[in-house]
Order: sequence, then C-alpha cells, then structure tokens
Amino acid sequence: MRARRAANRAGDDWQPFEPGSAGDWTPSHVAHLHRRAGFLPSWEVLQRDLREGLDASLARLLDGEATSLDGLTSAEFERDQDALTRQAAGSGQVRLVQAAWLHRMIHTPHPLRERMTLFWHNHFATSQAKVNNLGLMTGQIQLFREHALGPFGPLLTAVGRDPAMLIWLDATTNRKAHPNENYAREVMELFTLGRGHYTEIDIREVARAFTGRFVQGDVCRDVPAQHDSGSKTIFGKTGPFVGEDVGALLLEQPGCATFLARKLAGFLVDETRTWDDAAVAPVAERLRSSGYDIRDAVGFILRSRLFHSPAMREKRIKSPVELTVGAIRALEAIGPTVSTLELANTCERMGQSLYQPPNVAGWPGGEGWLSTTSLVARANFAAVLVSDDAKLGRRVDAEALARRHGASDSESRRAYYAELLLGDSGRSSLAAGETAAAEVAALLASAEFQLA
Amino acid sequence: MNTHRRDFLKSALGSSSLVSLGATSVPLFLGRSAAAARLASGGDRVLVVVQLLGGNDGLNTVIPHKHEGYAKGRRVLRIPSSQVVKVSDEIGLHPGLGKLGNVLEKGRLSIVQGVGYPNPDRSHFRSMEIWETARVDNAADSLSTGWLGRALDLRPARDGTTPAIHVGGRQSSLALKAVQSQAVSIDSLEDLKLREGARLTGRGEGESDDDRLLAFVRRTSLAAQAASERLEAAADSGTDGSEYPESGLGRRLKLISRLIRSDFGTRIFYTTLDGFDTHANQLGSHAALMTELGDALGAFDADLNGKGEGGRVSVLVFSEFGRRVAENASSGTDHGAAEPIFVLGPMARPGLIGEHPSFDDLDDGDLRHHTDFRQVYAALLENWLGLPAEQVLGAGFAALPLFPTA
Repeated sequence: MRARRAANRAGDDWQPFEPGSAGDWTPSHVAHLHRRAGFLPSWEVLQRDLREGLDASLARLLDGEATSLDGLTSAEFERDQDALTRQAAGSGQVRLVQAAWLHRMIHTPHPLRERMTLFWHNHFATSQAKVNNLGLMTGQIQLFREHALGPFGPLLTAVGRDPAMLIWLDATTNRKAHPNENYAREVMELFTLGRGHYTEIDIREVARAFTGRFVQGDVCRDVPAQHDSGSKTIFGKTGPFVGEDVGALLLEQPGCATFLARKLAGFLVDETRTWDDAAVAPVAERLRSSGYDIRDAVGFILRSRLFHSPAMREKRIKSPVELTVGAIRALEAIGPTVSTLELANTCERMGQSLYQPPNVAGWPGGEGWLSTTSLVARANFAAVLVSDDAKLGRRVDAEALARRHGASDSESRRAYYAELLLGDSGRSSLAAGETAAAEVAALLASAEFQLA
Repeated sequence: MNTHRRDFLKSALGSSSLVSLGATSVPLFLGRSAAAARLASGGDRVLVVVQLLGGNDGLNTVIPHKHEGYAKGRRVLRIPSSQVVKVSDEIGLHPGLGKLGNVLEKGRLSIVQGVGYPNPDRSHFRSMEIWETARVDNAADSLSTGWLGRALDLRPARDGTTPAIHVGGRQSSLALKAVQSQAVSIDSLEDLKLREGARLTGRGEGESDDDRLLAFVRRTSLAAQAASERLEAAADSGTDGSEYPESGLGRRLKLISRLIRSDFGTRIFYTTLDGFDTHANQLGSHAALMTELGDALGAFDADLNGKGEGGRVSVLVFSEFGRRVAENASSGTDHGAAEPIFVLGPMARPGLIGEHPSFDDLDDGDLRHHTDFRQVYAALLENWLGLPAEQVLGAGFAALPLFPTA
C-alpha cells in the first residue's frame, strides 16, 4: 500500500487501475464509480458490478445499459422522454420542463450521459431567466445530450449556432458594421481557454468571423450580406475565417485541452484541489491525441489509479440533483416514481433550479451548495422520501426494500442501508433510528451522504 | 443568563441531536453557538429592504397637500389636507399610512425626499436594475452583482449561516446577487423548518474531522440543526404578542421578524410589495397598497420594539421610480422620476430629510431628484452595517446623516 502510494506520487496516477485481488474491487469501489460517473446504483447493479469487475462496469457506464429502469429499450426510452420534454416545453412552464428532465434522469439507462449533459449545462451555462423560450432551452439541453460523450469540436461548433446561447449572450444580430464581442469573449474565457490565454485582438477577430450570424424566428441564420468576409488574424493565423472555422482554431491552442482536462478532473475526481497544468497533463494529452474525444478522456479518467484511490473518495459535494436522483434510484422508488414536479421544487429549495443556472459561470457548486436552508431542505427530503407523508407522491418502504434484499433484522438492515447508500456496510452506525424509515432518513441526511 | 442563551440551551440540550455528537464536540458546539447568540442579541445589525414594485406614486405617499403645484397636477387623485397624516405643516402622509405615523411619533422613521439618480430611466426593468445594482452605466459587468451582494462579499458569513434571505417568491433579487455568497429565497417558515423525522447529524461514531470537506459539512449541518431548533423554540412559544395584518406583506414581515430572532446569522432580508404601476383608476388601488404597507411596517416596528430588538433592525422602503406630477386621463399616473423613500430604525434625524422637490423646476413634467439613492445606500452600508461603502458603490457618494455615528 505504502509502495503504491509512493509510485502514485512518482507520476503514474493516471495509469490504468488493474484490480488484482478481491480487496482491490469492493462495494466502496463500485459505489464510488457510480457516484461520480452516474447516480447511485440500485442493490442489484451494485452486486452485479461487484461480481463482474471494473471492465464490465465501466463499459456499461460509457455505453449505457440495454434497458431503462422502467423496462424500456434504450431507444424506446429516449423517444418517450423526448416527447415528454416537448410537451413540457409547450406548456411554457419551467417547472414542468425541470420535472421532465428529472424524470429522465431517474429512469435513464445511461446515467453517465445524463451526468455529462448536466456537466455541459453547467459549462455552457445558459438560463431560461433570460432566454425565456423553453423550446430553445430544451433544444440546447438535447444538443448537450447528443454530444455529451462525443468529440468536443462538433459540440463547440453547434453551441456557436445554438439560438438559446446566442440570445443568452446578446449575439442575436451580429452585423458586419458592429461585430458583437460577447460570444467571442465567452467562448474563449469560459468555454475553451480561460483568462490569460487570448488577447483583445483575438476577441475582436473572432467576433468578425461570427458576423452575419442572426437569430430569426428562433433559428440561427447566416446572412452573407452582414458577414465580414475580410481577412482575420486569430492566434497568429491569417485567413478569411468564418464562424465555423473558430472551433478548430481554438482546439489547436494547447491551453484548450488543459482547460477541459482541469474541468473534467474537478468534476470526476476531486473538486477540492487546484489542478495545476502538470497534474492534468496526461488527460490533456489524451484529449489532444484523440481529437478531443470526450468519451475517451472520461474513460481514461474513470480507469485511472488516481480515480480509484480511496483518497479520492468524498472529494465532492453532491449537487441537489445528484443527491435526490441518486437516492431515488438506489431506494428503487420507481414504477411509479416520486412526483418529479415536487422534486423540482425540492431541488430549487436546495439551490439548484435546472435550466436556470445563476449566471454564465454556472452554479458555484462545492461548498456553495450548503447553507442552513439548503441543508434543512436536504434533511427534509430525506425524511419525506421514507415517510407516509404524501408530499412527494410516492413513499419508499425502507423495511420492505431491506427485506426484499435479504436483510430482516435491525443489524443486517442497517448494514444493508450503509452499503447501498454509502458503499460501506461498516458505516452502519450512521443509520441510527428507531424504525427502518428513520435509519434511512438519518443516512440520507448524514454529512457523509452529502459527499460523493 | 439572557433569554437568547437560555432558550438556546434549552432547545439544544432538549434535543436528541447532541447524543450523536460525541462527548468532545459538545462544549465546542455550545461555545460557538452561544457566542453567536450573544452576538445576535448585542450589536449584530440587520437590514430589511422592502421594494415597492411598479413605481410608487411618491406624490400621493408623502404629500405636499397645501402646495398649489400639487393641487394643479392632481384633480381627481388629490388627497385633501384634512385626511393626511401630519408630518410637518406642509407635508403629510397618505391616510393609509396611519400606522407608519406611529413609527414617526416614536422617532423611528426618516423620510428622505427627492431621491433618484441622474438621467432617470423610465423603464421599470432598467430602473430596477439601476437601483438593485447601484450602477448607472452599461458596462458588460454592470449586472453581474447587486449592491447588497457586493456588500456580502466584503464580509463573508460565518460557516453555516445564511447571509441573506429573500422572502416571498422563489426568485431572489438582483440586489442580493454576489460572487461568493448565495442568497436564499424562501416563501414560508416551512422552508427552514425540519420536518417530522428530519435530523441533521454531525458526526458518526469513531469518525474524526481529519478530512476538510467532511468537517465542513458536519459543521454546517450542526449549525443548521441548531438554527432550526431555535426556530422551533420560537414557533412553539405560542402567541408572542405580535399582531400583524393578514396581508401578504404582513405575513412576510412577520416571518422576517421571527427569522431575525432565531439566530440564523442573517443580516440582510429582502422582500417586495407589487402592484404600484397604477396607470388607471389609481385612487382605490393605491390606497389599498398604502394601507398594506403602513399597517405591515407599523406592526413590524411595534413587534421588534416590544421584544427589545428595535435597536438593531433598520428597514429601507423604495420603489424603482416615482410617478409624473400630472395625473393622466384615466385617473391614474404614468412613470416618473424622483420619489420619497422611507428608512425605519433608531434614526438620528427622524422626520423629513431634504426639501420636497420643486414644482417650479420640473424635468419634462417630472420631479427632479436632489439626493442620489446611493447616498442612502452609503448611509446603510457605512453607518448601519459597518461596511466600507466606497468599495460597494464607488467613490463620490457621501452617506446621508441618517444614523447616529459613534
């Protein structure tokens, strides 16, 4: 163990983790993988992945499972959810649209794709509060879903044409005579490079490349007469660039891969540390050599020794959506599930209103998730989920669940809950209570459960 | 032992949460929160903002009822001298503000006349942005933070406390938008109340606080549990003698009073009263709003004074603009400029501050401001909350002498 840690420090943190003995692949390992790359696993999935090992588990996370939690094939499921989302958007009510997404996350056969969709929602943070068009907002999220684990270049190009994004950044009429620099600035500062890796001249020239781009009737159109077809110099390269060329120019910048690698490492591995360039260099290199293939980079991170090192556990604070959807999936509150409309309210009380990040930088996240009131909301969610209270529209029968999975007496029941919800049966003391419901509520409200 | 502390010990020790804390953490826990309770009962000052949405008709709120210019502009909407609540020989409050008159009598109300900003904008949206951000420019970052948000960022809150609470509706105000702190928006006490069976625990058996992140969550959880229990104790004390009107603003201010007394560590509360965009048939609707405002503020002030908290709470009441001097053809008023604003609390100079804006020097039919709203903000920041106003507002806004200075 000591030798391995020393080796890690020597720089092969990112080498593939090869579980050898049984002690290398435990419920804690499986739970950690799912917490970071999906939502909490159900008991069945936890035991299956424990049995089948890392390779099979990781492959299923990257590719998705064959069927959704409500038994549909993955194609059927996506089709149904898309229809549900369209209907919700048509209602004009943001709560319904939030409820539809939560419903999708609770049942999805592809948790990693939904988590990455959330990641991009935060990365390209756009809010309904300004866009005020749910058709465009859900269209943007669908774009993130389609590109969630694809190459970054096409995603970036698509975002540059996304009407919701263009409205969000006031870039709906980008005229030749008055290039709009807002999108040009944000695309470099927040989406690809970070401050200090571009000049004001680069911004001006990128804005010129995007001239002629308008949003008309909710659609992005390029109007040739308003496009500045002159020569531009961006990052030292000169040519008659158009908007579609900008993505490739940005991706050629060495800083772009480092910027994305840092964000992915914070999201998947450890949000508490400052990832310097050297620490994420192997991930950045992987991005460059794979043509910015996000699936490849995510798989590389999730395979690494660093990721699976016990020291990396509890290095993130769960977002409200992660926490609630995870608990619902693990406790099998499916068929029917809770009222996701009420769940959307619950998440907002905890500080996360989907489709409405606070600003262009996304949710502050980390310790910012926790305040007096948001913690009260988390504890109340825990209590409501297992109580007879009809508030969430569906109650988890904690005792029946434990019995179904072979835990009948109080001691084995508490060990079962601790393994299911924390991946560690040894922490059963956190499930303290006089009834099965109280035991689960205590676990869900524990400090440990707030962490991922 | 003061009441805060006694209540706190009773509620904390009476609960089962301490059982799970482990013996070593108890003294620390009590020590921290008892200190917080002392701070709360001592000089920990609170600012409550009540924003009137839609543009309040200031001329029919703080009324120059004897002035010829008033009589000329207001024929249908004129409030006769016999009905106003007297402030001075020349000026009276709208009759609906009778309860606010009581606050004035106690010397706890300042009425700042002629407040506004240069080149007034008559768009609701834009003018609200200007008041809420305290920035009149159009720079790219001008809407990235609110004036109170910037103030909060200067003095980050203690762990586990909620620095600012927006009461009513889920959407918080732009005024509270900060870089570091996150304001919370709540509709009712329910949002802060732990439900039956809900409990935040600090520490499991044999666990240590080696891990920084876990320690943070435990600390925050303990503070939340304690605060919620305090709230419970406050709620359980039955009728606390306060009487609030059954109006929306009455309920919100009642909630704020309870939160102030419950050691949430919150220094800034923000709430709104909507309906002031009175373009037609204004007389009745404006009177109803004035009554809701006056009765609620009067009850709030009486409540806090009755509980010995009046000395640490100040209230700011403003709207995004006043309305035009001349009434329109629909017995209403259109968007205007300068307005009077109210500041409640232990005021240095109760009563009127500044002259009523002149009727002889109108700006395209609107009253001109002589006092910039940022001078009021500067007083609230500098002399009330004890924060450097210049860092929040920029240079050039001298604090109005509203509060006693040390």
